[in-house]
Amino acid sequence: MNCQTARQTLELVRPHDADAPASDEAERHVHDCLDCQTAVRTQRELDEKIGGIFRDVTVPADLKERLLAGIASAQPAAIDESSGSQVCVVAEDRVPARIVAPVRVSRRLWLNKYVLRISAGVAASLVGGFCLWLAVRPAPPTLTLDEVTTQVLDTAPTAMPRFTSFRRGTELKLPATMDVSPLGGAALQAGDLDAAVYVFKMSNRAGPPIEGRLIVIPAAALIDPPTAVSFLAGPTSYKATYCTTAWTEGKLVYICCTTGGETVLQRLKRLSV
Amino acid sequence: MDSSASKLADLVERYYALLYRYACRLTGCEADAEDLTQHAFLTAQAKWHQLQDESKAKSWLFTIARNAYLKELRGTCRIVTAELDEFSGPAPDSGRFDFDSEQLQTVLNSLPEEFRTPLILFYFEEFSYRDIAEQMDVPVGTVMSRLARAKAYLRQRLTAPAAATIAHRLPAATLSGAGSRAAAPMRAP
Repeated sequence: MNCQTARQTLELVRPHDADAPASDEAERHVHDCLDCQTAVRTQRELDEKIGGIFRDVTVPADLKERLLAGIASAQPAAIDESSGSQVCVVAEDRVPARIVAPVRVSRRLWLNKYVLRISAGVAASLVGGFCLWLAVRPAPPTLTLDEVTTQVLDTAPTAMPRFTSFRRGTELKLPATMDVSPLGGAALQAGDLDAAVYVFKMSNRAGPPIEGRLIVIPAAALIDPPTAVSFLAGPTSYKATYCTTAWTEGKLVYICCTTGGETVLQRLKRLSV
Repeated sequence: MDSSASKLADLVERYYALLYRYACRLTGCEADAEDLTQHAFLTAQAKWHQLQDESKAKSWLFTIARNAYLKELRGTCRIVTAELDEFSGPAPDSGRFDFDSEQLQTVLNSLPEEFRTPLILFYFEEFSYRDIAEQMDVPVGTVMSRLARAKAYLRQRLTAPAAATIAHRLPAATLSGAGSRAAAPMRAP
């Protein structure tokens, strides 16, 4: 055993403490080492002095009485179990004046508790607000006009449930620039699209009935909402066996698709004049 | 007076002075020590039913006091976990032990709590290593390790030859320690 180990061991030795390190080997070392004898003796003197000073604390004369009075007056049930902080009710007329004096530690704990609660409330509000914002913020558009049209036309009307409402709260309105008399039925939901679909069929004196679909979708959901602002002004294009035209009115985009080619669509436009 | 109230009063009778001394050394302030002592007994009263083994009431009481102190420190962000440097300076000279209680407390205050508590309890000679370990919820070996380092720190700070030169060797955290009250500079002996 070297000097340092011997000194450290002896420094921690405590009589009658089963967990204290064994000192036999260290004692033997010190017995043969003059330097260690001096160091250990000095350390013990230092320990004695420090211990003496440590224990030499004057206890206030009336502390015990005040503690007992405080305990007698406190309502145990009022101790806050969650924080351990003192919230006891002390009957002021039953205890000496000093015991009624604010308990600084407890007050600070209370203050900290309030600060923590307020902070937690603010944090929760911020998180809640952020979540709410995430929930209500306009979703970035992910669909093109063409994709919407394709998906609607590929879905059989029988597979479409009844439309209820747009997800972001946009109000469903019929177009103002188109003859809506054929749109007698309820709007349908095309798959998971946030779009309403009207399936219509109207008589046509000049030929077979005009059949088609009117798709209504919030403009914000489209990457490429049409620039035309009326049914009549909407450009014509073809999608499968349908002739289509699309336009924007306010927050909604309408896509009118008719079977029978452009002539049929033009007739429908004339009926809307 | 019911049984638990009677036992608590007995606890006050037996340990209030020791607990106050401990609190005094722990906080470094008489007023805070008194508050802490009072808080410990009131908490003990409220949580008396949690005391499973009445033979450990003393340790339980000290644990309550320490936890309350740590909670208070946490509230003021003054807790710091610091590593003490290993000190291997010269052996102290017994002729130079001319520090007083105030100086000792100042050095004690500059120690992080995790080193201060075992030191105080060791010098109080009231608790075994196992008791201290249970109070601090650390292994016995950790208690002894912290104690050895804390004693070395104390020795270096309190003995004259080293006192003048030790300041610059201390880690900043232990001097400006958020876990301690402001440590006044050691007066030259």
